[in-house]
Amino acid sequence: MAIGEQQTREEDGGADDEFEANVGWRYTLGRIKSDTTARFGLAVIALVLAVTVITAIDTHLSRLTFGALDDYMLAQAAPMLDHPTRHPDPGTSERRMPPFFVDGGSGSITDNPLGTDEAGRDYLTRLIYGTQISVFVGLTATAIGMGVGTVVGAVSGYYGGWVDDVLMRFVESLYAIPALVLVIVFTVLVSGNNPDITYAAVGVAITFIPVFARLIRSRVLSVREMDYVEAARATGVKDRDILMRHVIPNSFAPVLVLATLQIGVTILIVAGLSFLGYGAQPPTPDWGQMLNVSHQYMLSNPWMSVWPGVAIMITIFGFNLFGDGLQDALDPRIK
Amino acid sequence: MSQTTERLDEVETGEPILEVEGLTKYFQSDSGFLAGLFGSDDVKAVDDVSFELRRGETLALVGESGCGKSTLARAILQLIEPTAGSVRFKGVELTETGSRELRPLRRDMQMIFQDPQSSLNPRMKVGPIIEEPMKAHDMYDAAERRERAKELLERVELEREYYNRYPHEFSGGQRQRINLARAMSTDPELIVCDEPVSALDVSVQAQVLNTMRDLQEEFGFTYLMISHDLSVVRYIADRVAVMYLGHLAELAEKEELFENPGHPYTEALLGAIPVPDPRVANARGTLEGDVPSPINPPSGCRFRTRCPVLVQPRRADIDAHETSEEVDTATLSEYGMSDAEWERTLAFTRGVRRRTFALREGGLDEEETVSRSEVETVVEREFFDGTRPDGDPGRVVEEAIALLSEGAWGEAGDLLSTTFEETSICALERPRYTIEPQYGTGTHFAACHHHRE
Amino acid sequence: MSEPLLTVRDLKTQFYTDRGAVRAVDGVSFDVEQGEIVGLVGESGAGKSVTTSSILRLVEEPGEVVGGKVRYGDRTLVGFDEAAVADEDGRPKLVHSEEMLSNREMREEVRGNEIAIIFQDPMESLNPVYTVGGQVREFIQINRDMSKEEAREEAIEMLRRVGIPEAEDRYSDYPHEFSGGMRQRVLIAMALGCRPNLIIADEPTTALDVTVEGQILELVDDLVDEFDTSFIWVTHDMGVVAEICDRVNVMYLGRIVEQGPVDEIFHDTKHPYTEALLNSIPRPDRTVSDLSPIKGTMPGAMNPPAGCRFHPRCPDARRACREVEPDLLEVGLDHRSACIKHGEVGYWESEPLEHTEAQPETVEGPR
Repeated sequence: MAIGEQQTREEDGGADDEFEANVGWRYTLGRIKSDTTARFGLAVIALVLAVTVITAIDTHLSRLTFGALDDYMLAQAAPMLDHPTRHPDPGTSERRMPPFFVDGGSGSITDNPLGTDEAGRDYLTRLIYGTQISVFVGLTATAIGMGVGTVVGAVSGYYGGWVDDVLMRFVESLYAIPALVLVIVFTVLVSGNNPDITYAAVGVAITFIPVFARLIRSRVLSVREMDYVEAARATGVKDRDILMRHVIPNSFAPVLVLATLQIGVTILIVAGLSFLGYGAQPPTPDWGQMLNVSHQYMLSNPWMSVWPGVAIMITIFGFNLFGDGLQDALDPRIK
Repeated sequence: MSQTTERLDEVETGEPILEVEGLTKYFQSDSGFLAGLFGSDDVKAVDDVSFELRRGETLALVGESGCGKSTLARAILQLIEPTAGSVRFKGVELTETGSRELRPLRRDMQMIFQDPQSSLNPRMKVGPIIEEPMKAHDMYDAAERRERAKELLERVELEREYYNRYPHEFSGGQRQRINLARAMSTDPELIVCDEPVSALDVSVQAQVLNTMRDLQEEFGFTYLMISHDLSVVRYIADRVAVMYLGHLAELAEKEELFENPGHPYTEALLGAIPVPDPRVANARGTLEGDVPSPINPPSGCRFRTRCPVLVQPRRADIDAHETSEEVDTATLSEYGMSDAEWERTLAFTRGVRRRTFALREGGLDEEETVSRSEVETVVEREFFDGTRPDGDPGRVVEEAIALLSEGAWGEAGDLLSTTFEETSICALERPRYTIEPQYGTGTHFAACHHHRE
Repeated sequence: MSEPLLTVRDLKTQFYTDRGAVRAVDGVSFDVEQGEIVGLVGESGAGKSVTTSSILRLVEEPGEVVGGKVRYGDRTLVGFDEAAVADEDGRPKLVHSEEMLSNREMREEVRGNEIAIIFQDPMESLNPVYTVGGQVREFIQINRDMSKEEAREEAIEMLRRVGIPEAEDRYSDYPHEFSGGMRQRVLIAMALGCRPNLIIADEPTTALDVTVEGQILELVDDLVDEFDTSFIWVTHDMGVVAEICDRVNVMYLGRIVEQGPVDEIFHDTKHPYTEALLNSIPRPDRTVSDLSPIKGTMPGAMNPPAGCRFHPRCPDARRACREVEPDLLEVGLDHRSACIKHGEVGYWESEPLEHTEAQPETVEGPR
């Protein structure tokens, strides 16, 4: 009671200059900045993205950045990059070497710090390059799923009636198929015997459509009852403009939060796909695929399984922390 | 775009700009996927309502929650599709105009909403909010719209600088002014205002009402104002329409309606408003009971179940209408009670129907019965006080008392109700009368059978 | 006159926000006598509801009652003593006084059975998953120490008393099966069933239609006659105040600006705010051609204007009003007004204020 009145008073405080906006990007970012958890998540994401961008732009640049690695290891790590190398023979390096701090490991932090893989390639470098795939798939799959899901859900919720019935039945039928099965079937159907990570990404995106569509639809159902939507209709604004200007922007906050969480889910699914052999194909470095290979050496060199797991964990952790922070920042009730 | 707008007639001040005839809106009470399969009852939100709105006037539509006034307003603006009836705006029949052709017409009819919180998009700045209607109707170019939005802000007594602010930075009253500016931006002729000040503090209400009035004088707007607050209506309206359960109960010029109400419901409403003056002796004359469900509303006059002055049934009326309950009433040759007898019989009927009294102090157990004389005493004390009707009506009352002593409340209620309520002209026929006004010269419509010749 | 039923003296409640403390209730004093209806009127943000929840010690975080005294009969609901140790600023620190009731005593002995509270929204006060009758019965059972059977009979009797038709049948209905007016009646039945001496009604009719409001007001009148119950009636509606209150307290920004018998408040108005409020409301009983609204909006309680809190909006404000904080001054029998017009601090000698410059935030206090 008392609190309620308190808030009314503040709202009725009138056009007050010191009043902060609780809408808009600047405000949301401000709220995230003041939230330690979200800030930490953001830092992790920034790191992961930086690594992705740097490795993607130029392998030479990455060589400068990750100076501890020598050209040889780089060449081992990314043979598909068509990178000129002065060390054409990989066979000389010891295979499945444990990390430097373990007896029998490289012994030096500058030399194969995390050890080598089954082909004698530097594990740290492969791990770093593996970021690319995870982030690429995480972002594209989530973006496509979110885009299509949002349009389907918003249209369905706003128009209602038979449009809603048709779209929602379609979405529910997607829901009924287990995600992994759907992705595998899709990948196999589209790419035949040459499974490719891009197809896998699209497949994952399809499995995301129902989640996003249902979430935004439920929001749209309440937003479309708001007076400002009726006001726009009464004033003669076109339906398309009402959707784009009023309905979607006001329904979008939870979708954004879900998206950050889904990025983590995607990374896991892709790792699983690669593990099963439907994702990234060797020799492309990918965390899931690295896990796939490493499980054979579980007993002789358990560290090989640990590192990709840690990388997946940190990345998902980062996105989830950020997602939680974003949720708080976008929720007008928590202050 | 221009084709439909060209069909609009020019309307002089004082001439009808909006003609509503027989407007009806039924909602399906259950609209789920399978509702069609099992059939569902209709909610009769608005039922056969007719009136006209003249250019430049303020017509207030008053009534309590659930009376259908908001539904009526939305049906007029075609925001919901009417079930039947016609709405003519400047000569164009809106109910037969498709939504595509309707869009350009909306330029001339705008709406203001009740809730200043939810009527402005929280993620849009004030400027774009005000510009949106102009943009939707391709009026002016971007720079002109911007300038006009700022001018409008000044017009509604806000600052030009507020253009770049978000709605939440404003108080309720200021937000309602922004609403007003948005509605005015396309230079409309009709503005439908849905409870524009009821969410505001009293001192701010007056500010907004005064602004609305000034703007009307300046631009000649026609207001259709929906309100539950008769004090506000008395301040701002020219004519007043009172609604009850989807029907129009009364429509008259303001002074006439407040000083010479022609419908018992209007009287009850007027009597119930607390007057801000402790010296005004205010008999609250409160109504009994609740508003009945619009799913199965009373026949005839919808107010009859609560009406304090229900018309006494007459044999001639019943014969003329051939009621379905003739079994019970056939035994009555004629009613012919005195006013006092009728009043008490009616009170008794409603008392039994709503079980407002106990047959014995402290209530009864389910199985127990009370002796007939005990019930007689209670009924006599609670209702009749020595003025029991004799003849046929007296016999029915006695029969009901006998049923009560057996604990058969439902049957007693049905007997009394079919004999005394369902046979009244108020239940048999929907009233529509025009009466001679005592104040002003406008027509006075009153839907009450007390006005029949 | 005998000892009042409830005395509130200099009650202060603050809310702590990110941007500082908000003095939502700032020195409120009034009495409630046995069997009278005392009005607490003001616009939203005036601090009416905070006052009532402070009396019952229902203020929740981040709010806190920080000063003043509330006595109910011979019990102290709120009380403070000066502690031996001063705080950092050297002011004497206030601690809860010893005779103040414990939270448990408040819960068990005062709330419900001595003082009951009725809220504005009847839907929120009733639990949707229990029957209406069951809730009334339980409340009576707990507060009056009755057996289940007795409480049930009492509950039915109370429901009938407040005008619920077919009370016995509807006893086992759920809240959603009741209309808004009926639910409000149920709450009143619940409050009355415990035979409290004082009922605090927080805007109980605001959400209701006028005809239903009329029914409730009528009912309250009857109940006061029958049980001699006292009411604190919180409302923003001057019409309701005129209708049922015996005495009225007009609040503005956390303070009482005028208090007195209802007739004098309306017909011998002494505070410009009360006057302005009365002039700004449309009348149902006669056609008023022009209303004079109060200009501006109520400023936030965060930075209340210096001097008289109403001066930036006051039509009678003079220079002195910006400087002097007005106390409640006796202006008639049991009638007080917090306006320096009625005192001797140089109002009449002071210059009238130009309202164009008087923005609350920019006004400086005396230097």
